[in-house]
Amino acid sequence: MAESLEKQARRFAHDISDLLNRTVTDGIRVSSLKTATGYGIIGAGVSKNRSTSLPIPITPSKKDAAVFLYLLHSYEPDPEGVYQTMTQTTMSLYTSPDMEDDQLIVGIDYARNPGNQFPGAHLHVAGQRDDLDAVYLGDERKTRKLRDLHFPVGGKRFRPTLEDLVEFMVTEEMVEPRSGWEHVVKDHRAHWEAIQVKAAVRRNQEDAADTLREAGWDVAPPSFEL
Amino acid sequence: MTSLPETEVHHITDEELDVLIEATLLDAGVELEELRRQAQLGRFESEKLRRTWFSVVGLGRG
Repeated sequence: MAESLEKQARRFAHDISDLLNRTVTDGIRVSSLKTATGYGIIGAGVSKNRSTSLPIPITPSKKDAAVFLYLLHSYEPDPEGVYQTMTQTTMSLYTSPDMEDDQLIVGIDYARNPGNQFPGAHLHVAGQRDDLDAVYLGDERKTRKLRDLHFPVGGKRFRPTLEDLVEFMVTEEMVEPRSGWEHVVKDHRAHWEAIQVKAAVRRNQEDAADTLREAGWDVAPPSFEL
Repeated sequence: MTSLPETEVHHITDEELDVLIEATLLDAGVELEELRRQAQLGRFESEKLRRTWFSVVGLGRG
């Protein structure tokens, strides 16, 4: 039986804090802000007076951080009103807590229902290129920068996760992680993958049943219509 | 990861949300219609506006 929607929102936020504080941060508390109509956001320091997340210094010790994480998840109940669904996510790394345009290292965005022609799961990178206008054939933009491009990544179910971003920061040596960080990432990643598998099964029940039958399971449809 | 979460969940009324969204847009220096236009184009004039959009749409006001 699913947890209450309130508890799920609390757990989303808790899991993020747990992952970060056991790998690359110290004492970060991620909170949630929920509207009367069921929309919610999760980020560092979000409250009734703050709708944007605070930059999270990526350092598990008293050392100064080299990079800063901006993290904001949005959620709302699924159509059945049983599970909270992530609808939007942005995770960006910057070289300063000021988070200016030229301080972006990478931004990973996800929109479940993007309101434009770009892939819902994509990443932005920053850098200097002077030749991108030549490969743009549209007429609504006069110029574009490297960070304007939407690099597609994985789609809804296989998009990069916070666990991947933590691993990226560690393996690219942007932070000295806590001891045992690999196991924490592994555990959280397994948890994420289980959530995704369950969601995929709920949305593709006949395919899931076929797969289980092929593996030798006895699977019968429910008495009500899917 | 499985211990009881103690994370804060703040609840906001529609009236409080109106005020918060207005303050968020004011801080970003952008009108909502302009922010929507940039989102539809898939190109924000600044990182700050990209972050602002995620907050506004996440709170159901996009």
